[in-house]
Amino acid sequence: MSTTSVLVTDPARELPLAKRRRPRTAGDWLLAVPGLALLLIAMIAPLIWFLWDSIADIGTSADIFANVIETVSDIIILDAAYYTAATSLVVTLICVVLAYPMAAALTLARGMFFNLLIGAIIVPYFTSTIVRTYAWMVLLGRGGIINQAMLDLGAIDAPMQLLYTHGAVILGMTYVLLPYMVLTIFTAMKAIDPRLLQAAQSMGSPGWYTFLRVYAPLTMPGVMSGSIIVFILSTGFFVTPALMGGKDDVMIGNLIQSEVEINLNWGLASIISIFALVFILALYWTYYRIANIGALIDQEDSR
Amino acid sequence: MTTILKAPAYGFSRRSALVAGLATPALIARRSGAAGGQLIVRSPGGAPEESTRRHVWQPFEAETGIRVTPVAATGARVFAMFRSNNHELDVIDIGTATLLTLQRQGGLASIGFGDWRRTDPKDIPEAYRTSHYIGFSLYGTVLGVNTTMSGAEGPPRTWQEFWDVSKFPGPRSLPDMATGLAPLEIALMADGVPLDQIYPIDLDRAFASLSRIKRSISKFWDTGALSVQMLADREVAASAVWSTRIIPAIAGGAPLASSWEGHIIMTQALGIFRNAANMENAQRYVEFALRPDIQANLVQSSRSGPANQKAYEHLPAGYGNDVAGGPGLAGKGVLLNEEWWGDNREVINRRWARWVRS
Amino acid sequence: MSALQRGEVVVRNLAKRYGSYTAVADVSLRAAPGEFISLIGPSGSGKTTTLMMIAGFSNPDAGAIWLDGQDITDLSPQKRQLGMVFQNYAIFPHMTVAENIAFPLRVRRWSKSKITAAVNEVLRLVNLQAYADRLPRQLSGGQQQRVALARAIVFRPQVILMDEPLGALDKNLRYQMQSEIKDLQRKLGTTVIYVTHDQEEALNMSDRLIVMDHGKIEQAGRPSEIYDKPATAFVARFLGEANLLPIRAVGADGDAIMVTTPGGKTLRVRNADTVVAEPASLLFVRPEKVRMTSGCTPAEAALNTFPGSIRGVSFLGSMVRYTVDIQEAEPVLVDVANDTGATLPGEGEAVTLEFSEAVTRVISA
Repeated sequence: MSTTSVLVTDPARELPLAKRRRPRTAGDWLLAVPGLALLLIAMIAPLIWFLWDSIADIGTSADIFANVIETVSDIIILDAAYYTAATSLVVTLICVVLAYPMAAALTLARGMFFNLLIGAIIVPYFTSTIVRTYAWMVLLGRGGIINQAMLDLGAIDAPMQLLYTHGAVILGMTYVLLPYMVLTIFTAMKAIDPRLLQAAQSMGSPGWYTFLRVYAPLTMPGVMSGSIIVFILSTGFFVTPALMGGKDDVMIGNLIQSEVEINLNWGLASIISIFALVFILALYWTYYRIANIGALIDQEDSR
Repeated sequence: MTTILKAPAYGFSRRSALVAGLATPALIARRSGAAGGQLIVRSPGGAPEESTRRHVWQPFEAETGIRVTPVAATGARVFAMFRSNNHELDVIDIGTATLLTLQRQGGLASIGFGDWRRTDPKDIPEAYRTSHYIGFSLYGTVLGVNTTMSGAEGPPRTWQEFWDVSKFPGPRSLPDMATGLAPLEIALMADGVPLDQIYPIDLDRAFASLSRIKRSISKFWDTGALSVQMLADREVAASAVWSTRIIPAIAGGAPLASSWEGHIIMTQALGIFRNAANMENAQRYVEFALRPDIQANLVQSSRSGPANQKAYEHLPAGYGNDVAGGPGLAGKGVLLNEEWWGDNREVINRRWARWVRS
Repeated sequence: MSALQRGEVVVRNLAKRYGSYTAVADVSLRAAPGEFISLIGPSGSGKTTTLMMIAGFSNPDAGAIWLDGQDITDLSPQKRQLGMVFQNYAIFPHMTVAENIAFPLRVRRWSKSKITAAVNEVLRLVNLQAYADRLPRQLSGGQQQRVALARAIVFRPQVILMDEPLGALDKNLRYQMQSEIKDLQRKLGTTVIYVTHDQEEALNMSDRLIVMDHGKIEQAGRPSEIYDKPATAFVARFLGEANLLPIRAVGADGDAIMVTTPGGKTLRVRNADTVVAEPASLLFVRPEKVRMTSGCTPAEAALNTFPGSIRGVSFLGSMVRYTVDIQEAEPVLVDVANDTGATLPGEGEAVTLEFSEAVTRVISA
């Protein structure tokens, strides 16, 4: 032992806390069986049936292969994929920027005020997407409230084209998806031990430094989870782009919907769906590698 | 968190629910067995369902004792029933395009015209009547305008005027391919093609014509409700809309007007699933729905045209001057060629997507 | 140790109310430079609230806090330059041990090389050199405690506040850490204000104890002083075991006073530093200070002695605790050292207890 040390015990003798957790047993996995079975029967099996049945319909494997190649190299599909990814990314980023302070305000609110805030965030969430989207159309239309107010104030001479634009799609989607982000980040913020912030303060850290070095990093798992949820939900949108977008606002979801509903071409719909699924899984995998979700989850556990 | 991430991403769950939902009509059917037997009909939902219930289902039940169970379903869901061999429906009340697709894949029973007693098939023009499905109510795509947005020349009355944005200014809308049809006939009419030469459609000419109006289109509409809403909200000054949507809106006081010049006649039709459980009832229902008196009651509430021409005898004088397929409008419109669309829809769909993007 | 010692904390008339509940009422205390003082009391006694006001996390409703002659009452916590160790350690879970310890130095914009040197030195002090790059979740409770300690001392604050820092550790480890913290504090010459509800911990570590109850200071003083001369029945009971017999003062005898028990016994008590104002008081004597002899002495009249019989015996290892009936309101506890090897008396045996006047005190009820 070092001579400068005043400590008499050897810390290595103690077991690290993390290793004291009970190892998982077969019984633990058995508990998951009913849930997994339900998932398999209710969600996965019909999906596989749909994909298999409709793709097999195309013809021989060579036909299918040719069809797949044609589809994934189709400029329309690639265009929609790009538009979907870009829009989803922008929507996710805007959601983070808006949701972060909202979630923080929520952690500070108490009693009646908290109920009001959480209500304001959740109630629109219970309203159907179509109703919420129509509400925005009333606001943004050429004869809508915003244009009317601007005209009355003399700020503009002719109504602005607010609806049926990229911006309108992003606005509408952000509005629908914001609650997911707020609630996910709120949960992460709520889990932060307030004494960590006091500790930082006691060590002389000013507010901004505590936020940057302690608060923000600890909320990152929540921000990442929220982003993944919002991004994945975004990529599946088709009602909002159809109602609020212009002629160029075509997402992958719109293509699939039109193949399923209008052209009844389910083979093509399936190929596009698988294309989108692979795209999202690839994205999720990348995220997993970068952020190492497992480690973050472990960290949450050990507290 | 991981549970959410492991759940099927994308909109697949919707489709799973759709497939899983195929089981519901069976439950309804079992519960509603009545003395005269039963009949399960695909319903279009909304206002059309209400008028069909009042003017067709209820009198049918009263006359035959057969209990009618409506099941709301999209075209895709009807198609899914066929694909999964769950023929839970007997009669399919839907746009002709879906029935044509089903018929081409062998999903429909032939209509037993020979057994008809009180309706004469010959009263229904052959254009609406095929061996496996039959149009029963007609509506049109017409030129709709918001009268408060007209310029000095007044509102456009023809598709050529619709295309002339300098004389008739204001933003416009047209139906999107997502409605199942692209506005190709309209584009040809605007380009001066006579009504009798519309089909087969010259795609190059139609798209070239569309390209000339594209800049003035702020949005292609994809639902009937949205089409008239955009006119009423002054989002657009002129549009191609369904007659059954705009005529009630005008009657309701909206500052809109419509022109039948160059309208396109479309048909709502009836078909019977080939393996229908209640085949006999289904055949009786189809004849019943085409009977002149029943037709007359049904079309009046929705301002549509009857397929059975004898129905005009039961309708007020002049009714035929203001409905699709009406004798007073003969020569002003063209009947949509469903066969041609069935052959070309996929090609047009792709070309449309490219054209919109260009 | 620096020649000019700093780290004096003075608290004057501090008060804190939450609605109608008074958490702290009129607390004054002084911690001299380099002194280790403990705030001790049951939960709800106001000890933690007092500490939090000193730290700056809670605003007092009244009173003032001074640090080395400067009024810091209205200073924000980050400007007070106090080290702080929290009950659950409050280590940043996303930073390594070294990053945690470097945090207060980064805040102070020290140079990289200075930070590295300081962190290494402190790591050596708490014997965690090998753990610099570990994450907190890879450490045991004791190790996490050391990180919290290292982080609180690394920027060399004159005063360190500790809020039940050993509460989460098991008993053996707690005892070890007590001496480690004490050694560290002596070595650095830091003033420590320590909050605990563990009386042994407080007695073991502190230069001075401040016993609190219901938001007030009951008594302050050196551990031995408080143990031997508790000012109130509460203090007597809270620290260690105490025999408290109701008595009535009947007169003075030179520098001693005469008291009688309800059972009719008369005692002579040397109690010069306590003025017995009220006639009804309590007689206080620690169990280990009662002398017990076998057999019943005939000298019934002997002052300060009680005949009794043993009702219960509990063997506690280094000593034996007897419960003895003496025909008063309550039986008396007597601790006898288990050091003679002789046979100790058993249950039911007759004994004589002696409350010698030097170790027996009268305190207010």
